[in-house]
Amino acid sequence: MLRKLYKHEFASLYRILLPLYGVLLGLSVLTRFVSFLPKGESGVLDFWKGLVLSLSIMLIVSIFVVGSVVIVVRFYQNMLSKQGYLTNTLPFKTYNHIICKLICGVVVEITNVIVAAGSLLIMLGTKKGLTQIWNVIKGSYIAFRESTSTATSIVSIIEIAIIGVLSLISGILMFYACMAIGQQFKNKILGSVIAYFCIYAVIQVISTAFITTVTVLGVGIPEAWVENATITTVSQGFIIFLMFVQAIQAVVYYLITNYFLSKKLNLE
Amino acid sequence: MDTILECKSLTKKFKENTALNDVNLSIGKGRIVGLLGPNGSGKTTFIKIAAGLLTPTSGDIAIGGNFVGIETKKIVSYLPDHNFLTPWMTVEGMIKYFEDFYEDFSRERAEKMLENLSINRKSKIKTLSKGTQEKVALILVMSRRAQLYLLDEPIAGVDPATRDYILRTILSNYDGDATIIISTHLISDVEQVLSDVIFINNSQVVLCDTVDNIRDTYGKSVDEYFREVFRC
Repeated sequence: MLRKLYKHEFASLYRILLPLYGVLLGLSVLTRFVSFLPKGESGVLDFWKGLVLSLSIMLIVSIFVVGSVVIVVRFYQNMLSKQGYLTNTLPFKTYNHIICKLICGVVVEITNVIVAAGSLLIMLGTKKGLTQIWNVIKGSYIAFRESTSTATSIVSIIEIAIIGVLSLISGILMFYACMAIGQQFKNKILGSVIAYFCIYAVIQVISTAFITTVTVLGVGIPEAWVENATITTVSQGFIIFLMFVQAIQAVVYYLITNYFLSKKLNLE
Repeated sequence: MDTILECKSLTKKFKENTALNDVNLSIGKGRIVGLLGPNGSGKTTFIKIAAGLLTPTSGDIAIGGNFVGIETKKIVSYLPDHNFLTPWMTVEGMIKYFEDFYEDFSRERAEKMLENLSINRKSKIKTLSKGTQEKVALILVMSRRAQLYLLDEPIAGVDPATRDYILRTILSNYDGDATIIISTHLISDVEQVLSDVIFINNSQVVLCDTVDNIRDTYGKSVDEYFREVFRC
């Protein structure tokens, strides 16, 4: 039955995004098509070429904005507004709903990246251009590998990808936590905004205090590690630290959301 | 008497307000119970706790022998006093939604009721009038073969003809051993269908008896007796 929860969640999220993807890809094809047209003397054709390209770029930006808005609004409407009377009485645990919405949200954001990349490829992808992009990627990788070992560079790339996904997860969960706290107030939207700024301020204070303690005072770093530190070990340490921070944030936001939705639900 | 719902010392507090205070109740199977009381007396809070939307501050509530949770949600069909339908979905979409999540949902029942009311299954919820949306919500809730129906103000805000239809729908669509709890302050409209009543006032249960007993003991209808008890 859990599968059906995901089915309905995806249907709800992609209901708005799929038409947008269609328009974007169509516009990308049109951009590519007009780029083959000869240069006009009057400049009218160039104006239209520029317009179509600008629209496509704006649409690429908008799918990320709309994607994030859809994820947040879906959570609010489905869990905390009137629809919540049905959602929260379905035979599932609260965490089933949170995790389902989170996973679907992450998939939507990843789809956005894939569609945006596909759109750019359609618009700008010539054989020459693609070779240049490939060479840049290859060159960067080789330069990175030369400064470390092959194994370390592969691990680092995987770690950076994990940080990307973790920060996506903690970002979405932060919004969920803000809404879960915000529904305790009479004006739920205002409450959520206030909760967002409070959480943001707390994170800033904690991270500033931590970084100051570690970097300026050197607390918590073994002397032997400092003496033998290389660029590789420092960057590895920093990546692992970032992963750890994102994971901790995600867990805290999840616990806050789950607590408020299961123990302090306020659907009035 | 086989019990479907039992609560012991049930208390719910919201900051300074006490919505329910030490409520003890036992409701049997196969009964149609009126949860009656003035506005703000604690009726909706009681129903929300039973539906699993609120957690009690103290005390216990068990439905079908289980504390409120996934198992009770499977056997409880809840009609809130708010429109819970998804506006962008069609009526058919809502039927599928219920079918997907409730094993006891009967599509046949739902389709029959929709046909009786000439509601088009392809219509989007947001295009339906408020009254029709309320009917669709009731149809979905009553199309489940649940053991306990929790109906929060099902006839408030609808015209008398629709009220009659709703009450007929409720009566003709529940299995004999199922229990219905109807929260309302429109007592005269529901009195005819009730077997038991619970009077709730100032967060406490002040009376829990059968309709017949009330009529015999006080020589009054439930509506008349309610007016006497809750006279301002």
